Amino acid sequence: MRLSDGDQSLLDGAEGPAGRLAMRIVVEMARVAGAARLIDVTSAHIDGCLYHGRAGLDFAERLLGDGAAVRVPTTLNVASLDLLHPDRFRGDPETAAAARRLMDAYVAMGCRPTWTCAPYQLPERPGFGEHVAWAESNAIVVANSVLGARTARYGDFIDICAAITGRVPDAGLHRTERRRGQLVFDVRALPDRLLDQDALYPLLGHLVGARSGRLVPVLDGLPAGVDEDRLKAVGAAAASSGEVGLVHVVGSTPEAPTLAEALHHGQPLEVVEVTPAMVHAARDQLTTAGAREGRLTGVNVGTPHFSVAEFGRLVALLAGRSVHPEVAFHASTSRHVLARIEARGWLASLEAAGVRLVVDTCTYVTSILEDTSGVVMTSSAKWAWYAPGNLGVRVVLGSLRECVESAVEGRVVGDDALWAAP
Amino acid sequence: MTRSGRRRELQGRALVAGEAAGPALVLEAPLSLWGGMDPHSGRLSDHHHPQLGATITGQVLVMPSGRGSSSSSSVLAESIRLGTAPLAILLADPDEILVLGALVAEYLYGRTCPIVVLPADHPATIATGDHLEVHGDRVTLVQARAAPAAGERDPGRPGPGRPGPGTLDGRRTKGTMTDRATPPTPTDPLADHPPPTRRPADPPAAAAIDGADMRIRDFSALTFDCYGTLIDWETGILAALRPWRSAHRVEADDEELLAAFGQAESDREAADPTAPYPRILAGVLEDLAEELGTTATPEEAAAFGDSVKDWPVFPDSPEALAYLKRHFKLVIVSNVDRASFRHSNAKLGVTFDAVVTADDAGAYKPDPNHFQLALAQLAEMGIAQDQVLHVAQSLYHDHVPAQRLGLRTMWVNRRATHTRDGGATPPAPVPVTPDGEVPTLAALADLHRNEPAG
Repeated sequence: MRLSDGDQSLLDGAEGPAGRLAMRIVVEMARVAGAARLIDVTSAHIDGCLYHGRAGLDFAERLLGDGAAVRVPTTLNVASLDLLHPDRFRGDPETAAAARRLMDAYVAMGCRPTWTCAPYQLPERPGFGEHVAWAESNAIVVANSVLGARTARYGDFIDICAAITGRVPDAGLHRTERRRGQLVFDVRALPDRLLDQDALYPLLGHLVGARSGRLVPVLDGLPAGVDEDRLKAVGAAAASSGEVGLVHVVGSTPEAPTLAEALHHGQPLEVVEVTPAMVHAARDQLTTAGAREGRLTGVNVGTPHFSVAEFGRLVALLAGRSVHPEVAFHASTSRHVLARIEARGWLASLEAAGVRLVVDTCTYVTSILEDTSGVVMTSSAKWAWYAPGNLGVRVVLGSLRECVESAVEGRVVGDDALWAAP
Repeated sequence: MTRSGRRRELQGRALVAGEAAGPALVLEAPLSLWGGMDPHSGRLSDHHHPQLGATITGQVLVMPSGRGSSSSSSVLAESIRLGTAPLAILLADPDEILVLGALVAEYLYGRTCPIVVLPADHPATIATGDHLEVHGDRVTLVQARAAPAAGERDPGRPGPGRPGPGTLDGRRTKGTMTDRATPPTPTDPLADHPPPTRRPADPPAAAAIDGADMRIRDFSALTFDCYGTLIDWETGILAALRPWRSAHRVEADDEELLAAFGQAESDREAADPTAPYPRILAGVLEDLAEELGTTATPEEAAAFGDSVKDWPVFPDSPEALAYLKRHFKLVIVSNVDRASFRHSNAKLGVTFDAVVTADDAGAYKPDPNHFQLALAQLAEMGIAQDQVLHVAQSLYHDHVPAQRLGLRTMWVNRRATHTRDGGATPPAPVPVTPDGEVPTLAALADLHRNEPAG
């Protein structure tokens, strides 16, 4: 591997022990990935600020103690605490204190306290072709697929090392040849009625991810110009059920104006015909057996963080009604989006309707829910995938409309027409 | 049932180099450690995974492919810290996320989890329950069955040749596993018949009792070593030594410091058996400085001596002790002074039925005084020696002297996941075989929980 003079001098400790350690880790990762060199990145997004235990805190505080500072603009992913609503945290005080120290350490290294898993909703997002070092699986897939920026699948520890050094291995999805579509999912067999539903997209993502593993999937046959929230839902679900870091959606994502271009004019390994039965199977996989008949105690939306447009739909669906008193309805989002919906007057109306806003964190990674004994409904495939393991809850995946109707009624309400066989 | 015990040498590529040996746990579906494994229990917690509930601690984890969240690095590092990580991980494809977790754990805690990529067809030849030995790039596979058929694997449970946690472990029984198809030869390092001296860092099964004649529930009292067993002394020692190391630009890494500490500490304790522990520690820093060609100021030495009260507990200790307290008399047998121990006791949370310190014994383990005092106090409570199990991490300080007195011992092998021997504990001077072995105190509590009453 060839190192630049700057890389070598960091590695030699010219900028102190933190720079040396960070460069050592980047170089080690380059070795594992078989990279020939390192390349510059223009921004970083850090996932390591979510508290998983002392190891992550020890690492951040060690770096900080060794004088670490980021050298590229760096955003922070969700953390364990909602600093605007600290009373919502239901974990133990020691965990809260450690989680807070972790957040402070990253801010002290120069990261921006954005606390969102949807950094692509912030104004200064990267442009087409820019190399970035983003962590968090949904942020990665949206950066690559929707923005056309280039990031490998970074995770905890390497994310901050990339931010400190401004360098990453020239490997993985940074390289053009690794961005070629390999598996095609043809959705033309799905009825138009389904293609028009928000609820379809997380399910498509789920089944695509489960079949793709580490390959680059291509979704073909969707109407052109699928909106960013639907693409986000596809990506987040695919990155949960598989190791997907890039999904081409023909006619919608920038590297896939046509199927041929998504495939770099090559042949796919396989073309999978997506059938309604596969979509229904995905829906069943993301719902705990028997949960539809259970007692509804919660509804969670906003995984990944809700956008302004998604809040607009939520406000419209609620239509002045209120959430049932026995149902806790949480919507997770960023401070940035919160400020924008507040400016539109939506925040007051949502809160009046009984919707609790959660910022800086997310309801499936921390102790927010007070009652996990009943059934929780969500519109997010990612939430449905992880929450049963993280929180021990039983979950029902539904459309946003089903979530809202259920929250108002106080029981799981299914939209039978939506899911009826064609 | 026939067992071939056939050995195969597999050539892989070490992403994280190290040594390990133990039973294979082959994942039947991809697993994201984040959201899929609980680092506190070492169990699979992914509700979508066919092996939900299986324990990966003490196993060589074979992952035909990875999956999922980029936060898995943190989970692996955390589980290495907690001692619940697998002994090693074998992969079909390189996985940077796991490598990161292992590297960071090594950097922070001086212990890691070896990770080896095997050529694509090799993972398929390994079945759950096979025995695996990892040496850098090389992996030795000892198949538990002649022909492991696909679908015959038993998810989450080692095969018949390799019983799982909390059961008889063939590796540690004394010649009771006589139905081996392949008898051991003098050159055969097969762990079923270990060589007479077992290195302290030999990886253990998740929890093992030499159970032919021993049940946890048969004991009435547990005597505990404290530092290294209940208190994470290595983390505490390193945290206290780092400022000195930086200030004096000492070149030694964490493992070197710990090894030097172990030697200096035992020398000082033997030389000055009635000195209070903080003074021993202060002297240890002076010896370390001399050995490493530097100095320590009197303030630095005193601060190090005073650091015991800040040494952290192992995260599993308080809960496990609270559980064990409901079933046993608990006694501390520790090389510490009473004043320092009060701080540690506050962290451990439990009230001990008796506490024997170096102040009481007028000596330091491995001197037998501690044990004799503890046994005398237990006798006053009506508990005879054969109802006492001594629980400790250090073969040197604890298992050798306790067994000399005829006590039975349980090895809490906290360093099973380390890459190097010993840490702050000197090697045992004579061969010693504890009567049982667990990786953590939580595993000891589980052993009791899962043992049938009666």
